Formats: sequence, C-alpha cells, structure tokens
Amino acid sequence: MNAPAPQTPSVATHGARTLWGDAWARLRRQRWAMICLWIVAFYTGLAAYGEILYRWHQWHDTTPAYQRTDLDRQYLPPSVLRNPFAVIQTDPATGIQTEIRGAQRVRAGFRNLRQNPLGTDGLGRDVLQRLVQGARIACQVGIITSLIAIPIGVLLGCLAGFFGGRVDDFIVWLYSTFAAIPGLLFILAIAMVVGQGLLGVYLGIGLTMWVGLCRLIRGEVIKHKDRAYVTAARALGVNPFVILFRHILPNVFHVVIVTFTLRFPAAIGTEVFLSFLGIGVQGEPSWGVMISNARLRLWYGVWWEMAFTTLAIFFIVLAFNLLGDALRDALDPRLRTAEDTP
Amino acid sequence: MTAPLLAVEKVSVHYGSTRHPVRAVDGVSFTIAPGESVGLVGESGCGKTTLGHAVMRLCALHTGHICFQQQDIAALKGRALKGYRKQAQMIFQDPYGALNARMTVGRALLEALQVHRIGPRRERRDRAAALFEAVGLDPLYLDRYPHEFSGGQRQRIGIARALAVDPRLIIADEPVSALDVSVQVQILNLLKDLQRERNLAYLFVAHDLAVVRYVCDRILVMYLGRIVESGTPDEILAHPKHPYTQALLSAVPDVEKGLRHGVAKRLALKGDVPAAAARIHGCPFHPRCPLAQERCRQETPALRATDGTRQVACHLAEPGS
Repeated sequence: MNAPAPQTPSVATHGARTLWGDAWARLRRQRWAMICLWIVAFYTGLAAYGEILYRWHQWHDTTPAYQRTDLDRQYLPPSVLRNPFAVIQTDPATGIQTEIRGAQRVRAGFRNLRQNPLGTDGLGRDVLQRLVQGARIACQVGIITSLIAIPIGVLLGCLAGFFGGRVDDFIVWLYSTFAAIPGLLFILAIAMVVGQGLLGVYLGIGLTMWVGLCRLIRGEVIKHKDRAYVTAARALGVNPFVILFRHILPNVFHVVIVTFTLRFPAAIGTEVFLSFLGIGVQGEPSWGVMISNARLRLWYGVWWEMAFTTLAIFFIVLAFNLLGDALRDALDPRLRTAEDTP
Repeated sequence: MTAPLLAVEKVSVHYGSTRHPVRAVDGVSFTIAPGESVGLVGESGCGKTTLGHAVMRLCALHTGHICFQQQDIAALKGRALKGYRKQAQMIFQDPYGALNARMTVGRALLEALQVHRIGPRRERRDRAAALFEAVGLDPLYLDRYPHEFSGGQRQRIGIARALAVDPRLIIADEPVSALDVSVQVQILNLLKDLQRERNLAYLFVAHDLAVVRYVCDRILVMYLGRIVESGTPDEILAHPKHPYTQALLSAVPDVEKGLRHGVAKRLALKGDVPAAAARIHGCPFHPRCPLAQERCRQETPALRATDGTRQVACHLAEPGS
C-alpha cells in the first residue's frame, strides 16, 4: 500500500498527554500560582477543620470554644503582646507573689502563648477560633453559590450560543434583565423573601453570579460552533445535544474554571458585606459579623479582631485572584505556542 | 452510462438577507458517477466550499435539487438523513481544526462507528485500528490527542474518520492545501489508493490545478458561483477555452509549465472579484474579461457542449475548436 506516515519521535517516546495535563504542567511552572494554590488549600483545610468542629459540637450539643463567652477575658490582646513569660506565682500560704524562673517559667510561658493567640473579642471569645469558623462559612458560601450559578450559567450559555435564534434572544433578554437589577438590591430582595440567614445569601449571590458566566460561555460557544470539528461532527450525523455537550463544552470548560476562581472570592466578599450589614449570617462567626463587631471598639485600640479578620480575607482573595489569572494563562489555548509544551 | 451517484441540478445557495442575498452558488448542475472523482477549482470565494457543504446538507439550498442515488437529499430527515451521512462523508481543509482537541483520535473514530451503529460494540475498537492501518498510521496511537500529531498525520486521521462509515462519496474540501508540499503528495497518493480499493467517488474541491489534475477524472472550473468550464484535466489544462480558465492557468507560478501549456504571456486579471452581493448583468466574468464584447454585457452565456465532454460558458468559445 502506501508508505507509512513519518512518526515524529515525540509521539513515539511518551504517553498520551491531555490538554488538561499540559495546562497543569504549565501551572506547575509558575511559582506564584503554586504558592496561591497552597494558600487556597490551607484555607480549605481550615474550613474542613472548622466544619468538623462545628458538627462535633452540634452532635454533642455543647458550646464550641468560638461561642463560649468569658467576661473575665474581654478584649485580651494577642498573646505575644500580653508579656507571656512574666509569670507570677502566688504562694497560697503567705500570699507573697514571686516571679517563677527557669524551665517552669518557659513551660508556663508557652501555655500562656497558646491561650487566645490572636486575642479575644468583647465577649471574651477567641478570635482565632472565630476566624476558622469564618473560613468555614466563606468556603461554604463560595462553593454553594458556585453550585447554584455554574449549572445555570453553563446550561443557558451553551443553549443560547449553540441554537441561536429565539432561544438566544430569550436567554440574552433574561440575563440582561438580571444584569440590569443592582446586585445588592436583588440580594436584599431575596433575603426579604427567604428570610435572613445563609440561605438568602446563597440564593442571592448564586442567582446573580450566573450572568457573567452565561455571557462568557455563550460567546465561546458561538466561536466554537462554526469550527471545523463541529462541522465534521454534524457531517457525521452526531446528535446536536451530543455535539454541544460532548464536543463543544469540553473545549470551553476552561472558562468555567477561571470564572469559578475569580467568582469565589467575589462571593466571599459579598457575603462579608451582607453579614456586615446584618442581613447575612445570624449568630455564627462569619468574617463579616466579626468585622461588624470589631468596629465598635476599634477607636479604643482594640485592633486585633479587625486586623486579623481583614488579613484573612485579604490573603484568600489575593490568592484566588492570582490563581485565577495564572489558570487563565495556563488554560487559554490562544496563548499556547507549539514549543511551550515540554 | 450508468446512473449517476450524485446529481446536482440547478443548485443555488444564498447567504445573508433576502433583499440583497450573496449568491454563493448560482445555478450549478453536474453529476458524479460511482467511483469517479470530480475536481472543483476556482479562486477563493467562488463558492466551491459552499457547494461542498450543500452536497453534505450542511447548508440549505435556495433553489435546485441534489439527488444521491436518485433520491433528493433535501427531503431527508431523521433516520434517512443519517443513512445519507453514512453514504457521503467529508474531509476538511484544516487538519488542525477538524479534530476535537479534547478527544483522543480513537474516540473520534469510535464516535463515527457508534453514531451509525456499525459492527458489534466489542469489535469497534478493532475496526478503528484497521482504519488507522488503512490510512497508514500505527494503531498504537489511537489513544493520543490530536495535538500530538503532525499536520499530515492529522489529515490521515480525518480521512480515517470519513472512511469509518464506509461511504460511497467523499467531499474533499481542499484536503491538502494546508499541508507541506512533500506531505501533499503522500495524502494525494493515499486518496488515490483508497479510491481504487473502495470504489469511492470524490468531489475534490481545490484551488491548486496541479493537485486536481493529479487526482481527478474531470474538472469543473467555478467562477462567482457558476461553473464556467468543464472537461477532462488534459483538455482543460492543454486547451482552456474560457478566458477565466486561461487566466487561472497562467497564474500558476511555474514558468516552464506555463510555456508548455501555450499560455506564454501571463494573463493577469484586471480588478478584483466583484462584491459578493453585487448582481452582474450579462456574463459574470465580463467586468474582468480581456475579451469582453457588447454581447457579454447583455446576455448570460449558458454552459454548452463544445466537443465531446467539454462544456464552456462563454459566447466566444467556438464549438469544435
């Protein structure tokens, strides 16, 4: 027959590489992206720990440390600033106070350091414990709102882009209408309907967040539906829905991932804001609630609750944003070059 | 003559608004016999690809009929349309874009077999491997992704996918124009071998006359959505009768070949292809034709037989010359 096609050595020497694998390899080479990934993983771990703690206390019907009030320990600064190694011992017999020294002093000092390491709030509750719970709520908000917004956005975007015509007109009208309502008012309205609390936050953020994703997916699908591989599938007689969800969707899915990483911190921010306003989380230490509490005594020098909460928010938002940018670079085929693959 | 495999009758395809349509294909008729390969040549934008898509039923016809084995394909729906897609397949110009980057090439072949329920499920992978061998690729590479192959290899995969359903007709839409010249010959040889082995008919769309001459039994020259000349490659290349074909031939950048074909003087066309939506009165070629006369501006020439199988759409081409 005909001569065998020349095989390039690179094909022969290593196994199959998926485009996802390539993207991961590209991401691995960006140091900052990996640091951000670790930060996100750390927060996720904190959130998981917080969740376990929360469930455990709920199961045993006990008051968790982050809710336990102790009016003797109000407004304690972070432990490092409390002079932890100056340990005074009172002799029970004579009442003479002496400073203990040596190994005992070191042991006692470290015990003091471990107690309320980031200080306490106005009711004597531990700030660190409350921060962990805040991470739990933030992650919950990010994940659940994404679970609401991503399916809606992907489904509607795909349908609008692929089928065009009236379907497209209707979906564009729908998301334009949603986009035209000021987001906060919309969330407030939903919170009014379903009542204050996390459910209103989830629904409010989830039902406003799909708009941007829908628009992006629609554009990408429109770009892809006239590509030759789609025409080839059509010429082969593949069902249109199969073409849409098995051929086109995997090719535009990087948009979903990037949008997810960029929307996640936005959702956290919105939750903080809503909780700060008092229409979000009720009775649980969300970061927004903490900031709202901390502002009361801030001018009297009680800075730690405010500072550590904002730092916690700052790092996760920064990490997610940098990660999102790096992911976009790694996943976007437009920026790909042939020699970029190792 | 046996019944034609494909009969295209007065087909027009319009794009855009109904008031100012772009007449991409304008009253084209031709037939393809079983096992015959017909080349469709013309410059960019003359409607070759649109015609190929119309035959594949990838775009709607404005007027006319396309009959495959005496059956009008415009009326086909559902299962019958699927049956037609099993008979007629397509090879694409861009070997990079025609394969889904997120799907292994084996999956792409299996999908073709699955859609048409060819063979028992367990044997489909063996069939895919056999197809790979038929196009000169190692079946070991079935689990690779398209970006791991070279352009020529990808075009082979595209051919394997088209062959998966064992079609009678293949529309090859510029299958080699995106490839290196050295690879072009390999792919053309592959296409010729497959045609011989499987008795395929080709509608071979190209803008390169040398390519068409190598593969085809008959050539159709298209200009602005119409066929202006048809005949065997030897006739057309040796004695082009339509002034457009003459210009097309003289544009081949090979001095020796140009001399051999007797078009010593390069016949550069004046002006551009008219705007797509423009409606030209008379012969569509007259604004650029060096030989245009008053009659060309008034009457649209019909495609008429001159001698033997030759057909020319020009007032000035005398029969029998």
